Amino acid sequence: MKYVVELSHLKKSFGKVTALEDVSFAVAPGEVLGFIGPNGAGKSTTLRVLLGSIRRDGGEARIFERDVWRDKLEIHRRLAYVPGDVALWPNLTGAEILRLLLKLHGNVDEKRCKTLISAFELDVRKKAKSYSKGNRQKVGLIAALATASDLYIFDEPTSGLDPLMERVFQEEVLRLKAQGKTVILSSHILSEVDKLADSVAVIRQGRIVEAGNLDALRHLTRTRVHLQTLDDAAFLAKVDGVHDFSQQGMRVAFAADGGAMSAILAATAQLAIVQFEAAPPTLEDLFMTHYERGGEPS
Amino acid sequence: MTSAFYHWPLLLRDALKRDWRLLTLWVIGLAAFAGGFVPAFTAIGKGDGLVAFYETMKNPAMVAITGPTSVKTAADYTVGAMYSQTMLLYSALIAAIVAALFVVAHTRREEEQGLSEYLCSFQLGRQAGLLALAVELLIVHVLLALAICGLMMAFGEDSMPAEGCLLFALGVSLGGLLGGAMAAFFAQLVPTASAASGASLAVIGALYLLRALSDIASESLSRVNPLGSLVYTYPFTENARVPLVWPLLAMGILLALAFLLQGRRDFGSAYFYGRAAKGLGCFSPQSAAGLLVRLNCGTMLAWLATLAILGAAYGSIYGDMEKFLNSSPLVQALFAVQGQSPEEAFTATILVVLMGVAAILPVVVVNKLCSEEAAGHLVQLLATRTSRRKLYVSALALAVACAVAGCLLAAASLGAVGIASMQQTSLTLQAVVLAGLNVLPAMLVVLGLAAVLCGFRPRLRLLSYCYLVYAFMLAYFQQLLDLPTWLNRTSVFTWLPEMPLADFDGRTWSGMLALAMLLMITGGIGYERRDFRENET
Repeated sequence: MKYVVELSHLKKSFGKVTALEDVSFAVAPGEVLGFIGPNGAGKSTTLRVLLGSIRRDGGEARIFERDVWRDKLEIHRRLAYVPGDVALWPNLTGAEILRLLLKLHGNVDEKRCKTLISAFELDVRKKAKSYSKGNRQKVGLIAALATASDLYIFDEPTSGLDPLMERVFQEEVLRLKAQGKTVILSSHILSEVDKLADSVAVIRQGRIVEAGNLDALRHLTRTRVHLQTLDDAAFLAKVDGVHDFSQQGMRVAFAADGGAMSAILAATAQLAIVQFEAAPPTLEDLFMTHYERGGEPS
Repeated sequence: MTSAFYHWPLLLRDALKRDWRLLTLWVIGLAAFAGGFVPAFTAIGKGDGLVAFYETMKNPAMVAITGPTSVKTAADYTVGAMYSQTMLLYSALIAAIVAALFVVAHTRREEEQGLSEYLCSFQLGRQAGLLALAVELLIVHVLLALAICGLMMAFGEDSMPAEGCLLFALGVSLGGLLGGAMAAFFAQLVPTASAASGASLAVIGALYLLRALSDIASESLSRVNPLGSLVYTYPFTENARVPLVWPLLAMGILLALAFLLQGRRDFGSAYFYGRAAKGLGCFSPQSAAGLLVRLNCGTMLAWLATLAILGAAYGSIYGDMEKFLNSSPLVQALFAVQGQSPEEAFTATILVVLMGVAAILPVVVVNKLCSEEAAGHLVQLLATRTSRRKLYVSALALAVACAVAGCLLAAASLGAVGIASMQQTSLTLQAVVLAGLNVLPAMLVVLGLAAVLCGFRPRLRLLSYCYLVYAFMLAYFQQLLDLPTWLNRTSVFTWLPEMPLADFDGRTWSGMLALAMLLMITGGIGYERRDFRENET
């Protein structure tokens, strides 16, 4: 199939409040999509429409080329989802809950489940009411990653996890990627999305303001340069292609346009440089740029 | 639409595995309540007991509380007839309440928490959960009917043969199913679990009240009432099966509507979002005390209104009662012998009922403190200048105010309407209100008990309701059951004299007040010292 997930002019309102005005994007098979946006932009609403929890008011939404509301059961056979806040039955143990959830899904690898439980270091003998937010999150993640699905949807999956567990999660996603599975990852941790995603869709106030391949988008933003020099580097601010220049003592920072890199490097050659750091544009830069400019690429 | 229910057997099996302890307790407890009093009634029935009971039950005031009987003469009044007249309606009512609360917990509350939506992201039909719950409810009530029937038959009472026992058991079970179906229906309409339980209980209560009024006035109106028509099966006397059809139909319609409404809406949404709170003058809270008032605002107003209506409803029966008394020389003689005025005697009885109901609201307010704590809402408050003591004292002050207000309201409306509906009586409004205030310490002791539980074992706070029901039942039946004095004394309602019949006992009254205060202070000490709970149920 051409696209695993296809959204076209999606609309959704809750009473007088319009949550989604016009959301359109598509995810190709084997692609990892980073779905990001500010709070209240409509990320969770879009995901809920995709999961068939709420009914859309207009537009098309298809997964595996089937309608998300009508063919929900067919779709969910091959889909795994982790919500932002995993709700569990307080009086059941982690093991009992996992057993039920995996039975509900159907397509499960028992060994994989056990491996994941030890990888995430989850004590499944305890009752869910004693779990912290992170542990509840782990239950949701294990329930999703232990299945053999074709599409994985993660909504803020690492929001309660410690850095070690975050890494475990990232390894798992990279493994899925290697297997050619499709993933939608919605997260506020931009460094994570940066590391894992192939393409990105940015939603803001119910509309997609940017969507596209991450590498292509990186071309459109600037490189952040940090250097430490013993001299006064004020003249660099006037060089063509240098933006947001600042110097505090020895530390100099600015953003450089991709095309002006060699001219800037030539200019810095005059300085006595102690340390030089040029970082490729991060998702945060891309994101913030959209914010400051109201959606225009630089 | 079979895909809407996909995998429901899996959910059902899981629910039964999860809840079996609770369900067993439910069936056994309710069966014991509904069917276990047979020996007590057999004892009452000895000698002249049946005739006396029959004459008492002809009083419209009593019919309003328990329901009518089909028996036309005292001679035909058997233990069976007495049992079904007294216990059927109450048991059905309690079965309905328990079922309603269970259903709300497993529908709206789970949806509020996001659990229902999460489950549906798996291979699960959107409405599988509701179907599994409906079947679970059915299973429980079938078992309940069998248990009640079996228990009653085991006593081997002559006037209670198998057919009647089965009919009685079916009546109670249908009451439960009706309550559950109503809760399933309301869970679709309103956005929060507390609103859903509130609405279901309100409707069940309203049905009970309407039937109380129509049982005297117009039998056909009672038959239209799904809760009321259960009584008209007259187990052990007429054994009519037809009256069961209407509640069954009502349950079916409510369930069907619940499924229909659920199928059309989004997860987490509702059809009616209450904006009434703003209009009722519930202000924006500026302090801990204000917050507690705001949180309980809706509940308090609903309960107080209920108490006023309940008092007025029972009061309106006084007129019929007067007519009945004037036409029955036997009963007049009975009372003349005991030196009591009939209106005073019935006021005493009805006040026990009213004050029992009025005692629920203060317990609700105190328990809210603990449930808010468990939900994690109070932790932020305690990080400010607000101390635990301030929170506790505010909550308790509010609860005490509710107790006093409820007591006065119920007694005043009972007295005012009662006296107004009678032609000529020696009863005064002052006497009724004082009789009501007489029971206030008992309510406050129950409140104290709830406070102690809240302070030491908040997980067990539901036990205060259990004690309240127990104490109330004991007080209500104490004359009938002829239990040993020490057992009677376990109910805090029996410690006080029954006004306006007896005289006011100042020592007991103030003693109980002191006890209540002691309990509340103890609860406060526990509350300040124990660990604060978060994110538990």
